[in-house]
This record gives sequence, C-alpha cells and structure tokens, in this order.
Amino acid sequence: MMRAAGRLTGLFTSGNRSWAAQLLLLLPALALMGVVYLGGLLIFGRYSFDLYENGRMVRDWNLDTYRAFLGDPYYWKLIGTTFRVAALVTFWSLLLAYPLAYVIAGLKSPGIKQTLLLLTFLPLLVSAVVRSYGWQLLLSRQGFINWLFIRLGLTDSGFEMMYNETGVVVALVHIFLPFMVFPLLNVLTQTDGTLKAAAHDLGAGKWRTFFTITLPLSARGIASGVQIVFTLCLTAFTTPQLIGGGRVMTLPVLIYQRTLDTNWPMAAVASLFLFASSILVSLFVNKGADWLMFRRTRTGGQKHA
Amino acid sequence: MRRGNRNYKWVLYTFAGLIGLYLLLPLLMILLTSLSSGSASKFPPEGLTLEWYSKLGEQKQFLEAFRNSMIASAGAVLLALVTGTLAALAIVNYSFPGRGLLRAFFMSPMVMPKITLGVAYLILFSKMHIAGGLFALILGEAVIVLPFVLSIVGSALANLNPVHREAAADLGAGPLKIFFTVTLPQLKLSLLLAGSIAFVFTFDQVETALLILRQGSYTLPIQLFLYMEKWQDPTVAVVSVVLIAFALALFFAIKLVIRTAPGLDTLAGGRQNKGGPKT
Repeated sequence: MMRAAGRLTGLFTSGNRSWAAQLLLLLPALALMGVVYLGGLLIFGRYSFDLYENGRMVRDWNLDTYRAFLGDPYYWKLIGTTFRVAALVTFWSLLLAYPLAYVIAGLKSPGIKQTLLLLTFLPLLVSAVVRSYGWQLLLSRQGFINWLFIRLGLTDSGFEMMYNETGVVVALVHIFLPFMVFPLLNVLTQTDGTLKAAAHDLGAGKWRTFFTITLPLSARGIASGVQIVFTLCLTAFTTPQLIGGGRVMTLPVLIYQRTLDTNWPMAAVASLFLFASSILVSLFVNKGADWLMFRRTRTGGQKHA
Repeated sequence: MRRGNRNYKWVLYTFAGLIGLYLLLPLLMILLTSLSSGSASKFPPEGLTLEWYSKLGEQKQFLEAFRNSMIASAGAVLLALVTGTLAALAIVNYSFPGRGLLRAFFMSPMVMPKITLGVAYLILFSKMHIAGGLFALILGEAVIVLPFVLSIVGSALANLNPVHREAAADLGAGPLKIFFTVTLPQLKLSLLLAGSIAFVFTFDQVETALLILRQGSYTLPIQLFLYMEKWQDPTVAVVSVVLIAFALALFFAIKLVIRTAPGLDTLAGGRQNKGGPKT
C-alpha cells in the first residue's frame, strides 16, 4: 500500500523530472554536434555564397561561384571522372565480392571460414594510407605487377599504372571490397538451403538455380553493397590523391586543392555538390532495388493467380 | 554429374583463393619492401636487410606521430562514448517529439563526405583559434565516431530487459545508482565493441586530420602521407609494417576479450530477432 502510494506520487512528479533528465542526458551530445558539426557546416556553407577574386575572398551574398562551378566544362569533366571511377570500382568489387561471399557462406569447415573471413576483413584494419602505399609499390614502373607482366611476355617495358585511373580503380577495389562482401555475406548466409534443394529436385541445373533462386534472394545485399561502395568511392580522397598523384582529379581531390589555395567558396560549392550527389545515389539505388523487388513479387503473384 | 559438381566447386575455391591473394598482396609487398636493401622500391629487391628497422629509432617524427595518434584517438573515442551513451539513454528510454529527427541528425556524420567535414573543421577551428592542435582533432573525430556509439550502444540498450532496472528501483535505488550498478555493467560489451570500432576508425582517419593539424601535432597516417609525397625510401614500409602489426594485435586482443566475455551471442541474437518481424 505504501509502495503503491509512493509510485503514485512518483508518477506525478516524474513528468517534470524526466524532462530535466532527458535534457541533461542529451546536452553533451547536442553541444558537441551543434557547435562542431552543425556550426562548422553552416559556416562552411556560408562561404559558398562568397566570391573568390584575384586570390582573395570577398564577402558577398550571390550565386556566382555556383554558376562558375556548374557552367565550367572543366568541372563537368572532373565530375565525370569521379562518377566513372566510382562506377568501375563498384562493378569490379561486386564481381569479385560475390563469388567470395558465396564461397564463404557455403563453407562447412569453420577453420577455413574463419581464415577467409579474417583475410577479407584484415585490410579494413589497416590505414588507407598504408594500403595505398602497398599499391604504389605494386603498380610502379619497376614494381611487382610490371615484373610479372614482363615475365609473362605481355610487355617489354612495363605498363604505366600509377598516376592514372587504372591504378586508382585497382587500389580502390581493394580498399572497398570488404564493404561489398559484408552485406552479401549477410543475405547469402540467411538464404534458405531448402529452396535451392527444391529447385534442384524439380530439375533445375546449377546455373538455373543460381539465377532463379540465389541471385534474386541476394538482391537486397547487392543493393546495399552497391550503395555503400558507390558513395564511399565518390567521397574517397586518400587513394586518388596518393595513387593519382594529382593527375586523376576527382571531386574530393579538387576540394582538397581548392582548400589549400584558400579558395573556400569553390571548395564549399564542390562539397555541397559532392554531398548532394552521394545522397541522391543512395536514394536512387534504394528506390531502384525496391522497385525491382516489388515488380518481381507482383509478377510472381499474378502468375500464381 | 558428380565430377562436374566437384570441378565447379574447385573453380569457385580457386577464385576465392585468388581474391584472398589480391587482398593480401599489398601487405605482403610492404613487408618485402621493408626488408629490401636498395633504397628504391624495385621488384625483385637487390637483397634483404634489417637496416631500415634499426634506423627507425632515428626517425623521431614517427614515434611522436604515433603518440599523437594514440592521444587523439583515445580522446575522441572517450568523448564519443560518454556523449553517445548519454544521448542513447535519452533517445531509447524516453519518447519525445522529434526523437527520430534527432537520431537522424546524430547519425548524419556517417553520410557526410569526410573531406567536406575536414574543410568545415578547418574553417571553424581557425575561427575558434584552436586549429592545428590535437584538441581540435579530438572534437572533430568525436563527431565522426558518434554514430557508431549511438547505433551499437543504442541497439544494446533497446534489447536490455527492463526487469532488472525495475527490480533495482523497487529495492529503492535512485536513477544514478541504477545506471551505474545495473545498466552500465550490462552495456559493458557493447561499449567495448563500439569503442574498438571507433578507435580503429579514428586512428586511420586522414581527411580531417590532414586539413586541421599543423607540424608538430601530426598523427601517424598524416606523417606517413606527407612523407610519402616527398620521399620513397623503405622507411615508409617499415612504419607501415609496424602499423599493420599494431592493427593485428589490436584485433586479436579485442577478439580475445569478446570471446571470454559472455553475452555477445545474446546481443547479436537479440538484434536479429528484433529485425526479424520487420522483413
């Protein structure tokens, strides 16, 4: 009885106290995010309306920098490079990650499975700078890959693979492959084995089972892998800068260089464009996957009816 | 039929092995280069030597950079753990208007391009007159790893059974006492998980640190990055090998702790169950 009474009074007073408690709990995170994150981004965003003339910034409120960015074919070429590299990396990592995830998901021996998993995720623990350095060594004129190519008789003097898009793509695939393997592994391990067995019993061959059962069931994983790798690629800086050596211009490299030149208005506009395009790509891939899956289930349903 | 099946498996395994090799190749190459006697990175190396390792002691800047990295990462992770856990308590336990929006705001650094954040930090911290130092980097990195803490600790909190907390309350414990004696011990594992992921992430952060920091407070990746742009001797390889060894040691230490600590399975299982009905 006493306790019930205590609870009742607690109910009445707790309204106020929980408000205070909530605010107190949220305050540190709000202060950090509000000042450092939102504050920083707002000040940076404000610079996009300034002008940059004759090597110095002019405080203003106009859209000239936006016009300069969107109207200049140089920037469009650069945007094209950024998207082309991202698309190539996404394509190759999907092509390599799918069989790898498929093998890992299907392995029965826990020892080999653990080893392959470690091998896949180990690169994630190593700094992008270190991995880019490894690729610099491999891809350089006198590096291992060229030595291999010469040995195989493919070339006499070696290919130029550093400081161009090829090198950047090869290194970026290495860096982002784990991000593609993880979502694929997630869906492939959940896929029900009985469905495959049923298809097999009904006379479907290996390939047919794969294309009608396994691949459609892993569409969700493919979509999230593509989304993650594509957006990470669009915003990747370290590898294009180190492997590209300033000769492969992507948006993040441009933002870095403009910042060093203290052309903050242009850096701000390019940043805004980069952010907007990575959000748009995410939405697009998500909607696309939803649409594909919806269409599949609907046509499937109609066939049954 | 049987033979075809085996062949097909064999092809798949070879392919997976080749991809594994591709993943390992740069790390192996770095190891080889760190042992090569020539100063230029050339394959095959002229000879093998440990000379570059013994010279590492002379490179004071890398040692200092390692110390800076440790300070900055530890600081940022601690800051993110404290603020993130407190925020997760509020977001999970109370429902208030705009809760979803607030959560989305706290999670948004994940999708923000790091280079954009780097420039924003540079401008902000210059205006606050703290640019160039480790304190600025700690603040900036804490924002970047806050989403990890919020999502991992938040989902652990949501899966906690309220019975224990209610029992403690019925026995007369105040909210603070309940947090420190009941909730915090239950969160130990997810805090460790969030902390270690965040630590690895901040330790390797390039974009923000490169723009904020000045000479003298460079972290290890930045020191390497700038060294690589100027010189090409095997010192970089030696430092990289040390870094890889450090990452491996960290990984196995975390794995050991997680394996000895009970309850991770229930944590993961609980999350899967929660996701189940939605799909």
